[in-house]
Amino acid sequence: MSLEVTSSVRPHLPEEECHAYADGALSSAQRAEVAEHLLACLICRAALAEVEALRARTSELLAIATPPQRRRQGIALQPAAEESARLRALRLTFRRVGRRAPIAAAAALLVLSAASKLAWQDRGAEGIQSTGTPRLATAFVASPAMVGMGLFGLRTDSVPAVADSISARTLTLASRAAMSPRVITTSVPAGGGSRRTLAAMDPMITIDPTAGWQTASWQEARRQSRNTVAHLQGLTVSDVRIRSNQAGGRPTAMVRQQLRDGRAVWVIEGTEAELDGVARMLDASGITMSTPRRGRPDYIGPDHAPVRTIRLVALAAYLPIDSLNTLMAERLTLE
Amino acid sequence: MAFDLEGLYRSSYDAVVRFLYRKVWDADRAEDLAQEVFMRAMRHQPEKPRSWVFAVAANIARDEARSAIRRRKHLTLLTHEPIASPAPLSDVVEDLEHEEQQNEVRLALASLSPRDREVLLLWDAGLAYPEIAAQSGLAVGAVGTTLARARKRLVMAHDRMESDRESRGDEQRAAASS
Repeated sequence: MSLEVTSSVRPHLPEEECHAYADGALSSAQRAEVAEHLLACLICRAALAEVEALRARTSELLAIATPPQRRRQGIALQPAAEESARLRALRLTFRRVGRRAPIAAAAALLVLSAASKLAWQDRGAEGIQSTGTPRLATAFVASPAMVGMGLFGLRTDSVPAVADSISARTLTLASRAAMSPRVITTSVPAGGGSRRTLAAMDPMITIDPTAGWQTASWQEARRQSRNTVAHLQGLTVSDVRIRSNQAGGRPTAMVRQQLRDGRAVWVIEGTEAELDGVARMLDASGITMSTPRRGRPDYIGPDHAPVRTIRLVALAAYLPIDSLNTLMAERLTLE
Repeated sequence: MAFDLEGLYRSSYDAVVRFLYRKVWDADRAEDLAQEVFMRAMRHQPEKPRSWVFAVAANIARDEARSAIRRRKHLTLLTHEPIASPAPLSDVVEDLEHEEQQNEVRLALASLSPRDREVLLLWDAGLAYPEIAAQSGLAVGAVGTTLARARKRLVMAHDRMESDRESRGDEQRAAASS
């Protein structure tokens, strides 16, 4: 049997066309043609990836050539809250729950327990499937996703009063749970009128990859990192966490930013070892991490003989890795 | 359609300042010149305001480069005056570090041909290929080629400088340890 290999209709994409394609400068017809060719051609896909990397690197270099006072202005950011990360996370949870008023009370506890990946026991006679609120059951099953929602889906910009949609009792219970690691229980009426008891234990401890990280204001993070906090241009910064490095040098930084649709992306910048640790932590929660790339190197050690340390930057979010890589190529700045 | 200076200012001011800064390499001067660009825009009310402001900015920067040579003599006298409020030390260190990085980019940019550099800066300012073509006198089809070359040369020139600096650092370290 012989296979006749038909040669591709198109020759490989010329370099300038790759650039024009990456720059979005082709007409829709040309674009479609290029896209079709890319689909079939491994060589051109690789060439395009190279062009995209080159584009990103050019933007990065040009970003260095920016007037100093503009660099210092940075991004408008709410002042960092004094409250602990746990309490903060809790308030955020409530904010989210508050939007789903009818099931607020039950959801509050479920988010807490699911998010903490800890015991929630059904003390009633019936199982999860008989619960009157199927959405909650799903939420529980999709526990890692809930972790992500707690982490990623929330806005920190303004946290209005939440008590209007959540009963004071639930609020008390949940805040107690958040503040001290012990079992709390509450009764929630299920569909048929029978009462089921939920137990949540020590919520919030395991959900936050930035737990133990210092919450910092944008200015503070920039000061400690010597003006280089990697972030995505044009997106609101909603949280900044830093952790000092064992090796010295700049701290590892995590910057949370909001996409237009409200989802959040973390930008993580640190030494190879630090980033590795964060990657493993994120892995466990099902959050995608982008392909890391080089950040601005650090110079550690005595002034006369500093050692150059490589730093990496990566994005993490509930997005496909391709989207993250593209986002990083297009928006990342190391300033 | 009425000319919307405020909208133009909001959407392009920062890009114009950056564009000018990469030509005059002085932040205050870049801001002053950008103001001038928008003053002119207000008077002219151009039809295609976005590409217009960059065309004017490029002209102004060219004039500025000529007069800068005349001014230099005057500036050397001024630099001996004490600075009013010294910045905190950490800022100074940051600035020095950034200055070094910036200097490398500046030299890398300077190594490009004027046309390559112009096209690259216009692209970075957010202009589309046809606008870049109109301003640089290239055919639209040539913008991609020019950009491809400019990007490669910029990155190569910069990387060469960085590796030079690193090897210099290694030599210094070797000298210090021996």
